Amino acid sequence: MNEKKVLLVDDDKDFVAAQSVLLGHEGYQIFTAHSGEEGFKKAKEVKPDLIVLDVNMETQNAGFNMNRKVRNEGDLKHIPIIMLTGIETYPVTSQTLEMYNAMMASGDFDLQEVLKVGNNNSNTGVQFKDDNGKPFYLSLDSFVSKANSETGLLPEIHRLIG
Amino acid sequence: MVKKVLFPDKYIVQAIRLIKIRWLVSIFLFIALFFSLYFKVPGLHIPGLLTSAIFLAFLNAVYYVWIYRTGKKCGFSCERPAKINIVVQIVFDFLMLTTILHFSGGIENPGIVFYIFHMILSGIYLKPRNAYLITLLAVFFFLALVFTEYTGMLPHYSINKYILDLTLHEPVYLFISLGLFVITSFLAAFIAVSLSEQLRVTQKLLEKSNQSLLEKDKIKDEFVQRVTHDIKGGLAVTHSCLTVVEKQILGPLTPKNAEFVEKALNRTNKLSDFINELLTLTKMRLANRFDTSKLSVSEMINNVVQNMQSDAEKKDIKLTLTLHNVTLYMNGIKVSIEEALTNLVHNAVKYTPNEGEVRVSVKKNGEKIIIEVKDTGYGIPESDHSKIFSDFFRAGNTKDIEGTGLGLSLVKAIIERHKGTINFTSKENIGTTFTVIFDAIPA
Repeated sequence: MNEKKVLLVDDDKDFVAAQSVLLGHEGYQIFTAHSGEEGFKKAKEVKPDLIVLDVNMETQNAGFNMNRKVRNEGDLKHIPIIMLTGIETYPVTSQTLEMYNAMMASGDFDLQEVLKVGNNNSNTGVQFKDDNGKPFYLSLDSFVSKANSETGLLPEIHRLIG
Repeated sequence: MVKKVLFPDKYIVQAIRLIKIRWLVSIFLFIALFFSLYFKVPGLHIPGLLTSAIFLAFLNAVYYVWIYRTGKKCGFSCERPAKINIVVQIVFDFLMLTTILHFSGGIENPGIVFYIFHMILSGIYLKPRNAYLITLLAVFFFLALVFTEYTGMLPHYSINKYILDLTLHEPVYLFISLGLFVITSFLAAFIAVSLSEQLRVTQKLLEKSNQSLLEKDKIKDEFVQRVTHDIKGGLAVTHSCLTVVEKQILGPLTPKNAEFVEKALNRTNKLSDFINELLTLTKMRLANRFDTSKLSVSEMINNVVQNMQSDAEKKDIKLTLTLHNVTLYMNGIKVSIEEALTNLVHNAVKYTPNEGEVRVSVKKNGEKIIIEVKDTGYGIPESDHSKIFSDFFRAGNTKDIEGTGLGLSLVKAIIERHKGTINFTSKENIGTTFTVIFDAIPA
């Protein structure tokens, strides 16, 4: 059987170790990386069917930045990505997001949390500040809270690659 | 941080109070004039007094229209326009008082004490410098009156022959009474100014400590949020690692070992639930942004009750929902309201013994939506009634049932965020009824 390849990128090595075993047990072939940079290199190398990506690694938004790089890379951009986060996400409507966007641009508002748009995954996206402090909107395939990874991660993987 | 509460501005209120008092003074003047005509009091200059009284009433009407219009449009910055109104009132009062005194005996008239009222008032409501200026102005008016009458530039309408002799022919007496008047004026102003300064200082201090308390509370909440967040992350990893062992992926466990791993997993799950509730609660308290929308109350409560149905069935509890009105809408955050309602119904099911009953009902009363969750459960002991909404509090008769003690404080925080109220009545071993009230919005 042709095993589906999953790339796990998270700087928490214990978490990666445990998830590798668990996902391996589910029949996936697991590759791991512990930073955004390493993750991107691995992704180019192994061309996984799915990437599970932590947000906060070497920098607060390393995961989002890697996600962006993958999306801009010709042979990788079709790969679905599940973002994992331990930080608080706050669901808002797109109008509210626009408002925050304007506030951040004018410097009136410092975003502490990642704003998540939409409740269904079809139009999930986040608003975050990139490393230059510029607000950036990133459309996501999936966004799962780490604390619920037991209930959330596996169903999401099944949903995206079967 | 602290929102300015919209009160009718206190200076506007004060200006209106002055106007009200002046109506009384005008009426009193007319009555006094009437009596002095009737009893033929000698010395008074009646036409002058009558004109003054009419003019005073006219001025008062002007003040009233002015402050009424100011109050309507000044919004948050009423202090300055209202103070200008008050100062104009005071200055013209001094002028009118001086005129009236002139027509009714000048320095002979004991009414000179009326100057003092405004000195005290301005000491309370104006800056110290302005209060002293007002006092100086009054003193100047009065001295000018006495001087012009004394030198004969203005006629003196004497109301008392004896005092006339004394005042007009005894410069020492005249000088002493004027001196006393000046001293009294400034003393009165000084006392009012220093008292109100003290009050202002105390008020500032109170505001400051209130502010710092609020900030400390916020820092505490942020701290709790950060700590729980770190704990949550650690727990998630622990949970994953334990799951690896529990699933025996890497090797078999002895039944005893499996049992202990399962215990550990269970406890991690519970701790995780607890942390999640704590986080939600702190987040609620910290959140100052709201993404509200129009919510169908009947739809939400219907979902909540349906989701709880299987839990109720496990305990053979009859869980029913009565909707007296299906088109009920409110403004709010859907997830929060659903969380609060779920918590309430879940609690009712949890704290009701097997084969009991939980009845949920929704109705409309005027502009209010009333949600009732009534159970035939263990009830809350009387002695615990005042504490059940506190963080980490669990009633004395629930020790054998698992819970975090955060549920109801979360419920209360959510409901209060939505400007709603929650109350309950409870009798031990008979049951509890929680009543939640929200404001309804048009369908």
